[in-house]
Amino acid sequence: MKISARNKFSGHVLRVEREGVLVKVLVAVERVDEVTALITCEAARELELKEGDDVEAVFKATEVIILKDGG
Amino acid sequence: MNVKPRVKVWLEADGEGLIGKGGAELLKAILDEGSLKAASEKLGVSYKYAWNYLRRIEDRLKTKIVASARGGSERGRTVLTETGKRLLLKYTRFSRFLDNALENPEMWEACGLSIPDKNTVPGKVKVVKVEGPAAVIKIEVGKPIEVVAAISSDSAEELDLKPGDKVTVIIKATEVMINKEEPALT
Repeated sequence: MKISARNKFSGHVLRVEREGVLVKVLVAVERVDEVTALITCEAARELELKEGDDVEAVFKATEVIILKDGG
Repeated sequence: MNVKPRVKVWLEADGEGLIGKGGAELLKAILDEGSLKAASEKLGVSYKYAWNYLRRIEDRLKTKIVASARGGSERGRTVLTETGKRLLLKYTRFSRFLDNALENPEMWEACGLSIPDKNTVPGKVKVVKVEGPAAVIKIEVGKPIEVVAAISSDSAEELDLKPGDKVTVIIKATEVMINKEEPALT
């Protein structure tokens, strides 16, 4: 399957934490520290997400906010 | 420096100011003290100032907001009329609502000012491509990894983005999807 999202970071799952109806997934991405994804418990269950899984953190270019340093 | 936004609330009737913070304090003091004299002393304003203030509101509303006893044992007593009480309640409720809104992080998020559970990644602008109302910015966040951002040309202009600029990239955690490859079947 091809996806239109411009940002795809490959990494592995560092931690999966349940937060109510959501699950916080910490993905270790090489050279970018870590990326946090908040997904529903249902999604996490369906993907059978667990520590060490190879995953991609994906987000659309339109969801990115830019702050200029010192500006 | 601790910079904090503040709001000022006042009530208007047909575009004319009725009460603000000071007016609400005066009405509250009358409610508590039961006397205009005691209320004005409490607020440190002259009786005449307080009286004129009330008269102006009543003129604008064309109805009484305070009632005074003219004689007898109740002489000198001033109380709020139903209209006066409603006015005070309206002001109090509205300003409390706004105070709560200022304390509410979701409200800040709605304004794009503070985002809980966000990813903040430092990076350097590599490419700025502005075409019409939209701009595509490529930011290197760790060689050779790039983040692509699509923002409005206005924002790009406002930030005066150009290659080499040091920026911080923010992505709300709720906007990040997880893709897990199915293990290949053998």
